[in-house]
Amino acid sequence: MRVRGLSSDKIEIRSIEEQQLERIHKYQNGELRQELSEFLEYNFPWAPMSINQIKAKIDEFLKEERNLLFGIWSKENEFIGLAYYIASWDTWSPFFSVIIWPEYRRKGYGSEATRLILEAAFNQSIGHAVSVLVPEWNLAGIAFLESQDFKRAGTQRRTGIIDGKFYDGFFFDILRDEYLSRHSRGVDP
Amino acid sequence: MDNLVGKLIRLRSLQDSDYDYIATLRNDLRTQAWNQRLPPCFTPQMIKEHLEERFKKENRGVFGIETREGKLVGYLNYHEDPPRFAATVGLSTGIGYWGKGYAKESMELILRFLYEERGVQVVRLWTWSGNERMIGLAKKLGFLTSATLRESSILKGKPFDTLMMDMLREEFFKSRGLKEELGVSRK
Repeated sequence: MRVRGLSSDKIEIRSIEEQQLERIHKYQNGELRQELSEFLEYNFPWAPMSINQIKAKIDEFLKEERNLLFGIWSKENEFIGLAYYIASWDTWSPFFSVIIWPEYRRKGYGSEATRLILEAAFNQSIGHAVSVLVPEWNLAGIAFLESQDFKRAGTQRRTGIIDGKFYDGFFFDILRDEYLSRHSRGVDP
Repeated sequence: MDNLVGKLIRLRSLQDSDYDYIATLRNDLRTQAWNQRLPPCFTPQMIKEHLEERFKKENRGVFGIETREGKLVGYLNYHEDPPRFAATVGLSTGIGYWGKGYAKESMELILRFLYEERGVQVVRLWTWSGNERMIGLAKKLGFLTSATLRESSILKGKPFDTLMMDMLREEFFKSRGLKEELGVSRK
């Protein structure tokens, strides 16, 4: 599949605008509270955020010129998730994260969004190593990263608290050569 | 603890007169940052504005490291995220002051402050795989290497790994024979 910027036959990645806030708010106030709070780096993952709080968090994040935030749309023009890309410390070794709304999972959208972001990092900019931090309770996310040839890079002990217990975060990384090798093996269309 | 004063050094607020020296640390490729080369052209004013902007926020701190004789030998910073839960520390000392125990005592003071006065659960630091001095110091203090992000730093024309080292609250107290009295247990 030929990549055309941040768009493929399956999805399109675009900028987030005010119209998307309501949907993000709905999920943060509902079943994705923990995941979206982590995603937005909100210190109170048990607490529902207002639309204004979400907007303020996004604005704060985007104050850094090399922090990027995107929405993910299906080819049917459904808003299906979010992605961030953090190169504020180093464009050589950015971090990223993808979150897909629950009803759109297991359809290959996360995999496609990851591919487009890695393509941008490795082939449209100077990225050499791309990393992800995923909480240990996100088993689907961990399995997904492993399926995409990410390597486990270690543990961030005591990432947060959930259900009365500390939890860790797991770092995963992938190098440009590994990404290109994955393509040459025909893993991605 | 009553203050941030040790046998060799004390941690104190930065003063305007410190920024000439801080700029030399920032402009020396061996002392400027944990994994990244920055253009060695910072003026004292640029450093002052940068540090004041970055550390005026709550739950952050930046200190000058001063010998008991009043000589500034480096600076140290931390930030908590989330507050009272996790902290990340970093420091830089002039090469002429390496090997004298200043960095170790500075770290010990800030660790005690963070664990005893702030009550944090974990302290982290980041470095690069070729920084043997920092890695050795961190291990002596009780940090473990918890993550190795491959080839994510460029120094000396080569890729190096980035290391994330950390120490849990109970590891700090146990390794120093101190009693942990908060009793926070969520294992």
